[in-house]
Amino acid sequence: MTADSAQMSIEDAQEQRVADAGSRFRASLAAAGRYRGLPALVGALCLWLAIGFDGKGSFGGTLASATEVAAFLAIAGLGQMFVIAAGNGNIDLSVPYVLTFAAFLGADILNGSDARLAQAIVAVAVFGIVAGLVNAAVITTLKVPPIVATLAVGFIIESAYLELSTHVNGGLGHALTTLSTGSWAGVSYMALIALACIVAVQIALSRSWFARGVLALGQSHQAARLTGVRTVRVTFTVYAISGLAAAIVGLLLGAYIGGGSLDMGTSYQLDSVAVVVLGGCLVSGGIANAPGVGIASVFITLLVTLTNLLHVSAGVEQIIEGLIIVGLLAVVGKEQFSAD
Amino acid sequence: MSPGSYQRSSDAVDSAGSHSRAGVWTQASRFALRRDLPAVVFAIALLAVMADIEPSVLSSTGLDLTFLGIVPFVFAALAQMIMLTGGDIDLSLGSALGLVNAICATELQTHPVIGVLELLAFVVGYMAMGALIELRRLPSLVVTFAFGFIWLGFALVVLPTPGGTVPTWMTQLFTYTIPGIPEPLLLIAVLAVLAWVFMMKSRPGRQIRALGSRRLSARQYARRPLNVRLTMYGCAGVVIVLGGFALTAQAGSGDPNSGQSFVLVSVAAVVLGGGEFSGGTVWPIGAVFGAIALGLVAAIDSYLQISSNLVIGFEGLLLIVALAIRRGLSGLELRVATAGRASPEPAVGARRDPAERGIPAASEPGAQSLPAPRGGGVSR
Repeated sequence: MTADSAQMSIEDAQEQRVADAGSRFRASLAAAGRYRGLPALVGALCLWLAIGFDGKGSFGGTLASATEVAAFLAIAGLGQMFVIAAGNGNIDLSVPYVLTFAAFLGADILNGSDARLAQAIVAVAVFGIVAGLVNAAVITTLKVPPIVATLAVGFIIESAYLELSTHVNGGLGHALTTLSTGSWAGVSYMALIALACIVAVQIALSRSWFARGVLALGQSHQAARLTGVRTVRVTFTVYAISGLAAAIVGLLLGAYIGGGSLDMGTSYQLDSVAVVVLGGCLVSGGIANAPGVGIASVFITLLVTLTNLLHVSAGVEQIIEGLIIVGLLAVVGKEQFSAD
Repeated sequence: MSPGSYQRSSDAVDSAGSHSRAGVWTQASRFALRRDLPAVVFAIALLAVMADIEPSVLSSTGLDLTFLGIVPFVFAALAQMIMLTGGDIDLSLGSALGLVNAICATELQTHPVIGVLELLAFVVGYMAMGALIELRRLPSLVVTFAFGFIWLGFALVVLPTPGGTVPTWMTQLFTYTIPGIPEPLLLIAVLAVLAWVFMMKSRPGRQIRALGSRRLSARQYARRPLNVRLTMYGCAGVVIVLGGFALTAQAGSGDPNSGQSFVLVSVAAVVLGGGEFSGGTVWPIGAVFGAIALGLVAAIDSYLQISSNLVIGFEGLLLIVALAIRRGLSGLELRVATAGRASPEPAVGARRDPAERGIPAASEPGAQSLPAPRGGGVSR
């Protein structure tokens, strides 16, 4: 009798353990399913396989070129992520203008040689930060909605680069060109730079006081202020980060495409927002996810690659791009956009 | 414009019964003056500057020409106004105007029946956008952005390169002249009145304001937020179709990208005119004047003879200045309004709506005293 019950309890325990393992497996599956960057990851994988099986290029080659191009978008997207994470409708639509001006500014200073590389980098970085601070100043002191303020500031910068572009004719020099187009062991320098940025930002997000302040601000302005977060200072900083990121991307992208071009930034305006949202950050702020932004950048880049490969007309290309994003949003649905 | 109209959100509409009527009206008239006066002053000031540089602007022909260019701005602002009032934002508006413009310049001219069907399909598409936003609880910012691609794509399919011919009836519709009266000005006035009646006096308008003001009050008021949102997006779609007609008549040809600049301008016009970015609050007359002011900003560049490179920067600067003045004038009032808006939702909403979860339930003293559907008043 006692042996029987002992036997029973051992069997019970074993069953229990199996059930535990099962539920743990299910739980981890569910956790993976809840991962905020999942839709972009699945989308990127599908597109990668689609392009690979299409036979136009190898899997490795597709991935290498996609990560190289996506790196620019990822860095700009990380800047945008900080702004959006700060909530309260914060968004930086001046990204393409800052980016383009930075490319022309760099080309103007470098003029095709590497003699004044340090000056160019410092000037571009300072410009990006100042542009971000101006954005923040217009938003916080003049109380203009961010979506309007950053676009208006962007327009002013656009005028500036239209003027500047008339007397810039040099390129961005050898050093920056090598950095933006070179690769190491099959992985482009740009992808490595973006990866380093993603890791640094993700660590900062979980460890630094500043990032905690940004997320707190995004979750509740009132609560963040009462907890002692310096809300105005945080707002200024996130826009400065976004401006700096856009300016650096502009400098590198300018070198990548061989000099400034007036429409080089156009796609970055909405794409930088799209990667943040598809990457699993909360569009209303408070939740940020740096790896997700990187994955979403690869996804968007592969999407453009695919539509290019399909040789469809520009119109159909736009429709496909729109439908894929809408479809993804519809599948992801409410869970992705609620703060739980 | 009636200065006495209390144009605050549904909360205010509901609360009219619980306060003394005279007090509300006095307060409201003060509020009205503060909220949309800057747009009016700004529009008149710009017109004065233009008249100072070029006196012929004020002649009947001059007004005709100036305001003909502003009509599309007014339509765009009104469409965006409907969206902002309901708490959404429409980033696809520019591409949508381009699509209507492209259809007008091609199909509507060659195969009128197919053209009309395409325009109807477009309006249905707009409603589908609203349904997707409501049913999947998605942010309108992202969904309308993605739909912008789709509209632009269809526009490029219909009309790959700028060109096409415009139906003559469409040009005549907007350039029809009544002797002695600047016809576009009359049209704008009619639009302003219609917009005011729709937003302030009609049932759908009230429901849209309720939707933007608070999800909960909308649920109590309308019962079916989906229906309200479908109405809202349908109306915006129709206004965009009309705006596309105006744009086509004015441009005289089709261009898929012709509407792109309207996105920012439409948002700015509504905000300049006193509308609240976060929804619920709307000033139709202010939005129309905001559109006039920003349309004049676009027109004034040619009078000031600024270098073409600097035009867009000048517009950006004027935009910031105008909005800053508006905020400066109504700063205090706004702070009160935003503080009220930021107040947490009661627990009932938290259970039903995942988008509102995580908001503390019991911290609003007035939360328990919310009115039964259609009754009482919300105490602020």
